[in-house]
Amino acid sequence: MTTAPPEEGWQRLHPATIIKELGALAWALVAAIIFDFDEPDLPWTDAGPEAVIAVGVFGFATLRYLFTAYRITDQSLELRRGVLVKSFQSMPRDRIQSVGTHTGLIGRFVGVTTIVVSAADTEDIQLSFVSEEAAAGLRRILEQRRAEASPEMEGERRPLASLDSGRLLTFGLTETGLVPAVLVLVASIVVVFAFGWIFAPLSVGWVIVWPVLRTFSLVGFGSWIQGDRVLVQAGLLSRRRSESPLGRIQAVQVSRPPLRRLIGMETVSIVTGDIGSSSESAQIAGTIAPLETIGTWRSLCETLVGRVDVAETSLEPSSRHTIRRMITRGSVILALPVAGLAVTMSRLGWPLWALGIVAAISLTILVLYARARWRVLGWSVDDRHLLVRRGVMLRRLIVVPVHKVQDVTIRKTLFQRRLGIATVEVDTAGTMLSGRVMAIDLETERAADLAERLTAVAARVALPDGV
Amino acid sequence: MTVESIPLRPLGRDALAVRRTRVVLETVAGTAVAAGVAIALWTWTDLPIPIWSPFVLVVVAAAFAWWWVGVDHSRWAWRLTSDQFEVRRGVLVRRVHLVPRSRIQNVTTTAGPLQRRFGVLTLTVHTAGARTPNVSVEDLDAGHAEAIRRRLGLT
Repeated sequence: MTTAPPEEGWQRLHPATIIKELGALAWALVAAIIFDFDEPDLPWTDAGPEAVIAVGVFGFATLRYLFTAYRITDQSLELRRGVLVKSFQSMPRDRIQSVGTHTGLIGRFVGVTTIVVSAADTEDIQLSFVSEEAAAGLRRILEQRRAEASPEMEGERRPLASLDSGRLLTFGLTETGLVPAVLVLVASIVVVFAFGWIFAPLSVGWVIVWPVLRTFSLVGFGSWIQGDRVLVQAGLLSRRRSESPLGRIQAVQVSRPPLRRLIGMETVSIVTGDIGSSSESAQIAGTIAPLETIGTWRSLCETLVGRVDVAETSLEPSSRHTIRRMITRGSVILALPVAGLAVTMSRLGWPLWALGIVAAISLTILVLYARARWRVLGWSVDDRHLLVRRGVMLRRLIVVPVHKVQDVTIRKTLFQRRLGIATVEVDTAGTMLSGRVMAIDLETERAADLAERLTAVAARVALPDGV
Repeated sequence: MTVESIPLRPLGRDALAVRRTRVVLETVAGTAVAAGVAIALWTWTDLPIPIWSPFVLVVVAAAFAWWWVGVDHSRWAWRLTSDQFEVRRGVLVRRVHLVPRSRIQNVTTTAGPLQRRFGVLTLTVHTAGARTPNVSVEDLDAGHAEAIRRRLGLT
């Protein structure tokens, strides 16, 4: 049993929280209306049991509001809640990975906001709702310890990146998901004219929703560096704001989807160690520069994680054997569909040479892809950073500060062993990168050297406070 | 680059014994299922499948498992050096896990009834890495596991 925390400093949330609690209990009112409990023998039901239930629900929502409180002590942020089942959550302040705010439509109307505080390896603490002034105060207090440590850095806000309407449009148009979505929509419109089936566009219209939503979530995007934090703000209807301490950045990821690469642009994101990242906070907290000229990642990276000496131009290539491995793997994967096609074609009475052409084209594409993949794959390491590049279509560049490496695995499949190559997998506390930081198909000795070097540096650097 | 003179240690004979005992127990369970299938085939179907075929399948699978357990056992190895914990394993896909000692957040040991009977346990090492559990050694000699925990200063 832990001792009960002393009873001072607790603060209630904003009274508008009751509206939210009512929303969560709305099912009880709906049920009361649907089941219509009128009972002629019981005089009190004349007033309508719905009214009684409504009063009960309002009372319970108020109780939930009254029983929820938070406080900030020197060491931690604490939240207690619950009328019947009590819960107590405590998060050490020096473990906080990011502090985000999210203001929905109701919130903007009433002037309240939701604060989400994330730390590595623990559940997020969500305070909804608090008034906007209280939110600003809370953010300041939560970051105060760091500000005290480096007061000269506090205050000045240096812009990192922004997104005006023209660039936002370019971002949207170069989203990978958008092109297939538009193609599907165009195909469905063709179906309307060809077959007169007017519902075709309606049934496939949803495919366009995701890329459009993602683009909309970046309206009014801006990112800044203030003191030792990176701030990101975006959103049109519901506005989000997030803060992450620079020291908590596990990796910087640069992605270049095909269309964006074509116009010479890239997207830069940071990966922090919070595990409770919802899709929206992952998108917004992560992206710090949605659309920049290719190569800008380097200066952004230096602002975020210090001097970077590893360069994309001097990447070490993977072993050429990776081409052979890719062709073999691709052939095994292609064998089944080609066999299926052969059976279908022979049933339809098509000549066998047509199948030969299909197989030859598939194999040519495979060989070209394997060679392109070898040219893209690369890695580079020094005592400060590991840089890896991969992805023929969606090209990704990941920079990991070596002191953020948690553990390293060398993996060799049966075929890799025959070719004398191995893959080095690097694990950090960044959840979004789990299993994605890899130097693929290096010669076995180089793989062993890389793994040894990474673990040796990681072992030498003492673990900083937090992760 | 660290030059390590500490040799890799294989899993002990007890690990092989506990794994082969598992194979025997699974074979007994498999035989019971095979008997059920055989009775069902015999009673409800006219399929031209010999009644002994499920038992042959169980025997073949058990023989393969007996052999595989031996091969897999020989691939496991570990060592704890001054600055890292290393585990090697895998037959088809071989893995070498390297965990810097300064990154270890937690060491957990678990032992089932069979493992306790043979004096072995499963040792799991956690770091703050997102892929969890980060490294685990199955059927490690209890004495060695205790020594690892002591050397990591976690007991």
